[in-house]
Amino acid sequence: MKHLAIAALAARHALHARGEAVARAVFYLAILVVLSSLWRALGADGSYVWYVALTEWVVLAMPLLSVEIEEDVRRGDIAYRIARPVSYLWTKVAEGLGNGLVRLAMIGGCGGVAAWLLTGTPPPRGVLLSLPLATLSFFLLVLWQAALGLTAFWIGDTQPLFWVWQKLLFLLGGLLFPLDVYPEWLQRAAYFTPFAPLLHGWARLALDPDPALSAETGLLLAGWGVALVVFLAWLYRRALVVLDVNGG
Amino acid sequence: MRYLGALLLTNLKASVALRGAFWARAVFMALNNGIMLVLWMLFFLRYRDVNGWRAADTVAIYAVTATAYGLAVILGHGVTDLARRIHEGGLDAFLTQPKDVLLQCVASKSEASGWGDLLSGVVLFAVAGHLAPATLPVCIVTAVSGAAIFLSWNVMFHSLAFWLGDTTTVSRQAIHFVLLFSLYPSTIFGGWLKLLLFTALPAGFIGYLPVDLLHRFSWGSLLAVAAAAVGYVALAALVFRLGLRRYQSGSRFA
Repeated sequence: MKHLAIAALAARHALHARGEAVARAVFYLAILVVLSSLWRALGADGSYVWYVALTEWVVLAMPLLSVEIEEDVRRGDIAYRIARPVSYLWTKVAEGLGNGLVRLAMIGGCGGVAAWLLTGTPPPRGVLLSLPLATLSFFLLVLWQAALGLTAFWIGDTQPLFWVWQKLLFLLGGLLFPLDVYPEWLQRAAYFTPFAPLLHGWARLALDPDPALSAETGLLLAGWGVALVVFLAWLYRRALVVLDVNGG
Repeated sequence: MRYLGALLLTNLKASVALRGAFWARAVFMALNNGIMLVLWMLFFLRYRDVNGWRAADTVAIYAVTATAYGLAVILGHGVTDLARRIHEGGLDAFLTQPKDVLLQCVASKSEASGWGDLLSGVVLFAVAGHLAPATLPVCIVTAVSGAAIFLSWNVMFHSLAFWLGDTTTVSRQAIHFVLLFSLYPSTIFGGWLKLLLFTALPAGFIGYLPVDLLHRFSWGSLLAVAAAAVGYVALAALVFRLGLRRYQSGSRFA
């Protein structure tokens, strides 16, 4: 209940931080203009633009928890935040989910209209099928962000790790191009990583609206979600131990 | 020049002082660029060319842009604090010095990740075979002019803080825009978008024209790249000076 209230409060804050949402939406539109030009030059149909509209949508709405947690650790604010009667980690996750979901709604509308205008076609049937999975994927992205942020307890600066994680989303997650574009061996390898189901797994429904694919991706996302929650809880416990050592 | 050299050397020392963080940022940035290039190479395995743009062109555009951006953030990362300093009255410390305010502020910080960009850029120039005596001067001119354009573009957006309040977020976004458009095949853009990339957005002068120069040298293109750099620097300096007249001190020395 406490975390729900925290998420609701963060959502209310996000409703007022319109500048941030506008900045992200403008960048989102620029990406769609570029990618639609690329696919048009290759003679591909509009579903590829809808694909990238979906993947970029959840990634651009993602809260940068890693930066916030790193700041808390660097400034030492963490010392009094962990003393509160709610878990610091799950408070950050709840805040991230609260403001991220509002941004998801805000920029989602812009992306939908832009993709429609750029392709001249309404959203393919698979786009609607992918929306619940997109929300689940967004939840996982928030957990990833929290995990990256917690590494600040050991390495201080989380940005280098974030860059590489983000690029793995491009390469193995299919953030820009569907994985079908890549050689067979890479597609197979990507499915053994958490990145492929995170974006390509459900966004490919824009290209191939197969309910069986949707169910399979849902299960994979749920599995990776549970693994991430367990990993986060473990990482947080370890982080507190390190903090005790440093503070002693 | 001697002052600028000393300032840059001091910043570099400060940047390298935290050895672990320096290496992590530099190495991971190079890795970051490497992953993006692998992504494009895999893309070009499937699609041989995009309206005549081939994998070699993408290697060249990454080489030029990474080198230029690396140089810009190594030499002038202080620009990222400019809007905040203007907004909070933080230019006072620079105004008391007998040196150029803008130059001091821009060169006041160095970013370690720039070394990763610079390294990957130079490696890519070498991979593409452009470090030969005939093309080396072109590599240097395009990298330096690209860095100057990146910095000038940043200065212009940050200087808007003299009129609009803290423009740090908008300025960061403006650089992301230029980078976004600089790294895609130029052949996908046509009409008004192409015009935009050589006017409102300087992406054409950072990536496209330099790549063209590397493959088909012409004095006209070289002159256009150099003139664009000089023009953007002059424009950035002018916007800053106009804005500086409106500057209100933060009274930090009162």
